[in-house]
Amino acid sequence: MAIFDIIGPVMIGPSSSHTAGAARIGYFAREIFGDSFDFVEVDLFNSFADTGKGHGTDIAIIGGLLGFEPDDPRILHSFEIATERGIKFRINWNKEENEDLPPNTAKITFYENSTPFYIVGNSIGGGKVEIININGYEVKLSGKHFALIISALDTLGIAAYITNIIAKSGINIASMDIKRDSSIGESLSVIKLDSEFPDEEIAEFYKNPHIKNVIKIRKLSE
Amino acid sequence: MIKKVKFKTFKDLKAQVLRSGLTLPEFLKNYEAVNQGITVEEAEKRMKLRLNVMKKNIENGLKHPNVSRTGLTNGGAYKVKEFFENKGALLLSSEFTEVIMNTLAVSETNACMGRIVAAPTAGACGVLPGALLTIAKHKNISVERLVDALFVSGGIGEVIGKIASLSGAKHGCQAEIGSATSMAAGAIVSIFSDDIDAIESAAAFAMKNLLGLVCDPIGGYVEIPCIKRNVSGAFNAISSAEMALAGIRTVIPFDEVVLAMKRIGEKMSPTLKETAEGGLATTPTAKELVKRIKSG
Repeated sequence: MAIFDIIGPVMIGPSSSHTAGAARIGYFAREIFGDSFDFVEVDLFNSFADTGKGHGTDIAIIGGLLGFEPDDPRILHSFEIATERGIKFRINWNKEENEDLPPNTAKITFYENSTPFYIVGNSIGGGKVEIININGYEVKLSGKHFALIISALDTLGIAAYITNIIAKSGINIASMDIKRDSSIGESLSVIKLDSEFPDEEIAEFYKNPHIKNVIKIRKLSE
Repeated sequence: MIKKVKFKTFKDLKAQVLRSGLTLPEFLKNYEAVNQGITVEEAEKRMKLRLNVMKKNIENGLKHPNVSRTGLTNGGAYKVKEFFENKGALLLSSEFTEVIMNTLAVSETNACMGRIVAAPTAGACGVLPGALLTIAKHKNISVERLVDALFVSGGIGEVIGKIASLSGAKHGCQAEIGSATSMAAGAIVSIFSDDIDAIESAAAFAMKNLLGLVCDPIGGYVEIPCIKRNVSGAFNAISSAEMALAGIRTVIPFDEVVLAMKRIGEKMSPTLKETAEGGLATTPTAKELVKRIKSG
């Protein structure tokens, strides 16, 4: 831990897990999905649903979804600002305990032209968070790295194809995790990178017909 | 090239400081700068930003009654301030009353979704500014010295985090208000003395006094008893610092006090560690209040 993590972070209170962490999940989700949504649904689970109202978990997540960092005082007025920006939202307080999910969990579903895309995040304490699911793919992202999440048909040589493109762009791979879902014949690669993968080179991946989807994740600021 | 530095215990930190020939704050500023990959000046600047947030919290937290979303926080700091302005200090000196007022102002700001500095946590954020900044005002302490003192408090917190934890969910309130009060006690001493043994003793006294403290917030909200515990943490820090500055030295080294805190925390029932399933949180009145908050 750094001294600035102990005398810090600077954050909107009252709780690092239920408020700062919640804002960060929203912020992270927006980093992943982008800002082209007109409706967003937030499902709160377990402790988030239980004590979230008193901790401002709902307004913190909406604040994060508007692009406010955990120390941005605009969080307090996030509902009004969302409405001003023409963004509709719904908060669902899931009162029943869900034992399959961690204590402080939020599922955020974006709708762009009524197509849903969801992200599940979990606040692990001290304002730190993890994204644990992106549209059905299990992941584990903390925002400390730039990353690429690539789903592809599980075919021979697909990993080599992917790493080759990354190598050509001159970027170092910090770690790579490949999971296979044999029931649908798909693989999911989560690749953490030392620096940001250039937007204009994303198209390279799609030249391989087996690659279905590429999501780029930016590193979050401290 | 400057190597990254590490310390695991206060003893280890002290040995490195003595070897370096630097004072504790100088050493810690270098430590943080090297580890963050920034200059010492930049590290000081970042800490000054945090100091300014703390100052603002005191200023703004006393402007009007602070009311939280749950209603559990309802203008305590403002009440003390009004009483003080109308009738003066009630029991002791004005400094005493100001510590109460300033600590409440910061902790209430947190409860009311204001922008605060977690130190080490949001729930314990009032202790350090409440104690340190009130003394600084009365003793005309410079911003530079205060920044240094915050680095000292961070160094103490880091030792606690390495030996035990700073989380109430892990070791109860002794890890939150207990850590904050230890950090504040050491920080106060560092303003008046470079003696690292005095700093260690103050931190040790403060932690010892709150060993065993459970985390039992009503409804799980960082309000009751957290806000007023910040005030007791601030005073505990001040008295611990004064004892250490007068020359009393801790018999049990700080590292061992922290280890004791960890062991106590491990023995503590989970119902008394931030889960709101024990202690004050399960009193009949608390349950009634929570029912009202959740239905409203």
